[in-house]
Amino acid sequence: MERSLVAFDQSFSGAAGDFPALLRHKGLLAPAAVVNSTPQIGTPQGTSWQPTEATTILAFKFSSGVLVAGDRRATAGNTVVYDRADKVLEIDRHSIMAIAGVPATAWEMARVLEHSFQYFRRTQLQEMSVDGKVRALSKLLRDNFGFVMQGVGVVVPIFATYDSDPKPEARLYFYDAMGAQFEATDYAATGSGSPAVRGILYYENNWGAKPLQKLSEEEAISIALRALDTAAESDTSTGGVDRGGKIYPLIKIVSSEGITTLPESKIAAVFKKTVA
Amino acid sequence: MIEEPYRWVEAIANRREYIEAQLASGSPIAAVGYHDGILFLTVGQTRQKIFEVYDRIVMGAIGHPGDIERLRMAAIELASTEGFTRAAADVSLRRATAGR
Repeated sequence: MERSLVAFDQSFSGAAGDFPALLRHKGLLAPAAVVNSTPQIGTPQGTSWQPTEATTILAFKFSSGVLVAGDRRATAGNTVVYDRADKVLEIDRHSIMAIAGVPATAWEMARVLEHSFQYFRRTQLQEMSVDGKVRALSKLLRDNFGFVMQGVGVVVPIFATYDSDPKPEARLYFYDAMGAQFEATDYAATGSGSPAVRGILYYENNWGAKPLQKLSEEEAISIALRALDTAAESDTSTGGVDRGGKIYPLIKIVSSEGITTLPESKIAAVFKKTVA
Repeated sequence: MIEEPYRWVEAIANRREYIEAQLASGSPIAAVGYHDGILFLTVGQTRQKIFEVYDRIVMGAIGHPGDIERLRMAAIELASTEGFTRAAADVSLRRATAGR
């Protein structure tokens, strides 16, 4: 007889492992994929495998925290499947994971991560450190790399959080598909539209009216919208701003007070004033 | 030798008495329901006795620390896996206490 998911399990205590280990023990999460070095028939391995992260996500530090913005378009090949996708995800009260890549894998990672942080806090009776959180995402990416090599499930996220220890500051990380983490000093971008965005943010940071970290909230929103609109100009997989359908990018801000999701009315107002 | 039924009842009573005597010195935990929720409180500060289990589930216990820890971990695992596979709203105290 199949055991119920929630049955009292005396033989296993999560104190020995983390949340993904508990999920794997219960058969609720795919095992870490093995990277197979021998090419197989029917997989794109060894041929012309190209990572596709069709989207544009950007994040940069400004005067009151980190701004994370993402376009709303979801594509499958050349088809636009959804124009209101949410790629900027709240993981806990101070952390955001923004995703480029395969949505199914990315959303599951976000879900595992969200529960991992809570699980840690509840079992260990203390909040997980920022380094621990950053590493947790890195480990999920590493576990997924076997699938990436088989041509399915590539995810390249950005992680933004607010650290209160040792000193209060916003922290921003970007990753590669294998799980290496890099701390960004000023800005990060990922997805197919990211080269254009990186160019804009580099230019603004060095030769713009003021460095990114000195921008006010409205100035930061304006630059994020301009950058996404520029990316959408040449990248078919990036939605940018849908002027006809009035669909705006999703923008969230992480600050000492937590996460703020900017209301569409505010984004629309800044867009009308400084971008359109 | 034939086991007499009343001996069994007596044995259980003895154990209950023993456990009650052991717990008598523990500082109490109280839970009070009011219109905004449930207030959970305890007076002792030497050892944590009230624990977060899930979004809307808290556990308070007195007893042997090892037993409390096992019960606490089991409750967290149960609630977390259920909340992960379904939704936070599907984690119910009734099912958690029934253990299924």
